[in-house]
Amino acid sequence: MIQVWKKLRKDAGGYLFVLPAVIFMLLLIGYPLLYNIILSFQNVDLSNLAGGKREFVGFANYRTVAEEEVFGISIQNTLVYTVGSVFFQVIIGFCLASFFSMKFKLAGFLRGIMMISWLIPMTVTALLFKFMMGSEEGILNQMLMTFYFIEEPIGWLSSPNIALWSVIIANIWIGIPFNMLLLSTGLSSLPQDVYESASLDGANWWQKLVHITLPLLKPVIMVVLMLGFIYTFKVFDVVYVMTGGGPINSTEVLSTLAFRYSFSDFDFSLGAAVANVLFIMLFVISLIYLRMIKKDEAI
Amino acid sequence: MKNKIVVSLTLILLVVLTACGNNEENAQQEENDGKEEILLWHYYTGSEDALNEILTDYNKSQDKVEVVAEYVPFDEMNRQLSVGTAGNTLPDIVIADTVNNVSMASMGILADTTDDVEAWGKADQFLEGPYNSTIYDGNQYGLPLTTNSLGLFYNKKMLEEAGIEEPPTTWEELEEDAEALTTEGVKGFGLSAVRSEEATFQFYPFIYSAGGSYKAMDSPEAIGAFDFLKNMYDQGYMSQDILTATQDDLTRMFIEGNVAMMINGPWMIERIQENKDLDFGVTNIPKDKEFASVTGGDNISITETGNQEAAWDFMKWLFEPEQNERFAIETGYYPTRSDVLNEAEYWKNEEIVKEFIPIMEVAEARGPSPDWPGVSEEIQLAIQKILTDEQPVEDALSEAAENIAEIEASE
Repeated sequence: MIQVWKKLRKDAGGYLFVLPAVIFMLLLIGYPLLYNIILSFQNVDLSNLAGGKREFVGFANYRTVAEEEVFGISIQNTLVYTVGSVFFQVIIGFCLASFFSMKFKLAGFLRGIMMISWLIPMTVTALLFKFMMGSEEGILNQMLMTFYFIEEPIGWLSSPNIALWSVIIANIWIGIPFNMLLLSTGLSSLPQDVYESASLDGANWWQKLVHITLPLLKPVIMVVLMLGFIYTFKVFDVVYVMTGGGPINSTEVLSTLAFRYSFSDFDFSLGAAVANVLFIMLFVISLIYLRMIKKDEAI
Repeated sequence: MKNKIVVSLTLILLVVLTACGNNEENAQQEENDGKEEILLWHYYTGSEDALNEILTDYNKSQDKVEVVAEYVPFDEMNRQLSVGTAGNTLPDIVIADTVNNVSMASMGILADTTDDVEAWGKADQFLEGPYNSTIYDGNQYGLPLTTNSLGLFYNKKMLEEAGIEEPPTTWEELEEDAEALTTEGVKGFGLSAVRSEEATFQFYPFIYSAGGSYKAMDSPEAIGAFDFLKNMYDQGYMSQDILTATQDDLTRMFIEGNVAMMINGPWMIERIQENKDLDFGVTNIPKDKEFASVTGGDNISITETGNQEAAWDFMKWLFEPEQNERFAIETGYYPTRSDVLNEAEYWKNEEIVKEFIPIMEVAEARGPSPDWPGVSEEIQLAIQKILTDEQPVEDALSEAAENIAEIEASE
């Protein structure tokens, strides 16, 4: 005991340096998190939000939510949305990164230009895609029809079977530059001598890609996948602006559902329950991410 | 050296902590030149200056109360109200959407003004639809401040080219005209079916006109209304885009000439008029049995925690005919006092704007129901299920009726 105390005293300066950050995190991250968890076990609406009597209701909110058909739908939508977005973002991002790593004139400049879609506020991008995907006046259908790819206009956002993929397409466009940038950095850090000796051994382009680039880039790709997953999983603005969760519930995701419960129905506890489900799923993913990073550093 | 660091860190911490503590003291500073300060929340964007001018006039007119306005974005209002309720930082007065009035009252964040209004004795001057939207459980929570309703906007030139002399007045005529107006790149008719309150708002006049109500969504009347609109949609007289189109999007399509007739409200008039060569008119929404419309607009209420006496004094002043008139003109809405609407010069003479006067008289409030958000969501779902062929009209509506009954019974 005394030894522990001594050690603490010895390291006091260090702990003091950490203290502001810890306080900061406890106040701004820990408190809302805890509050949200407590909220999800109570029955809170506007009438007792201010300080009326709150009842502890156990898992009743989670049960209510789980029984709603829309909850299952929104979990499925969130997963499809995330996996679909990240998959294509990484593939296209990788292709572009490889392209720009070829040292041609203006490569750096063009790569910079590509970042623009990352800089535009997400709401604006979502609105633009909403216009472009209009079924009659939308430019996408107009183009496809002019070139006779389709005969009838596609209801990009109005058909329940397609709407989720339309939102995914918009999100892929938004996410490509971010993936490209991370992968570019990864690519440029790969050792060149391996490629040289591979060339001497007569490896072709495909063999270099599969046997050298991808294995060497694996840590970077995993990190990109994880970050993309975490970032995409909590999507809100794109869906909210483009479809509002409709048609019917075809694009409802966990975050829009939580928002609807809390701020349209004023059922804060149900909203908190949904938000916690979202949080737990993200938390697990983050743990995996942290483990991966640790492993990397250990090597 | 180490000590210095410790000391300076402690100092920083102290500064941070005291800075946090300061806020509370500021909030308690209510005295303002010996006047009581009343805080008002609103979401007016274009007419903020006008509102402040009106407030300044009131503040100068007496020396007891000082009303201060604070802007909250429309989409943020519900959120801010909940935050305010949680943190005990609600304003004294809230100006909010009519449909939220009753649900806010049912949750106990609004003050009961029944006695005040009775003592005031002007209740019979108000338009019935807006007035009813303030009543919950027989008591009154605030007053309707501005109102508006939905009408049929039509592109005069397109109607003329299609050989239509008068805009449609019945559902049959609406269907015939929409068919005639639908051509390559132009849809005859449009209304919003987006997954939000806007869809409920826009479909409601049709349900009313057929004699239906939200309490019986599976009634033959309501089914008839949906059958009619579904058919219009299936025939292609309405664009598929209505499923994601907000009222804003509809207006854009109307201005661009992609839609010949649409359902919309008077707050869009100015925006459409900016396009000088677009000649358009407004009339009653075509009827099944009777002309019908639905009211929108804002109600003004005093919060439970607010300074009731001072707030009511301000409201009495605000509802004097001249203020009611001035406020409505500035916000681009209509006055809620029937005497003002019918006697003031402005609404009689202004082009297009005046077309809404008869519509206002037949407009009814949505609900009113304390569970309106939930009820409205069921209606939105039914609308989208029906239009996308997810469910036949009758099934979708009987499901909605069942769920609405359940929601209403759950209190």
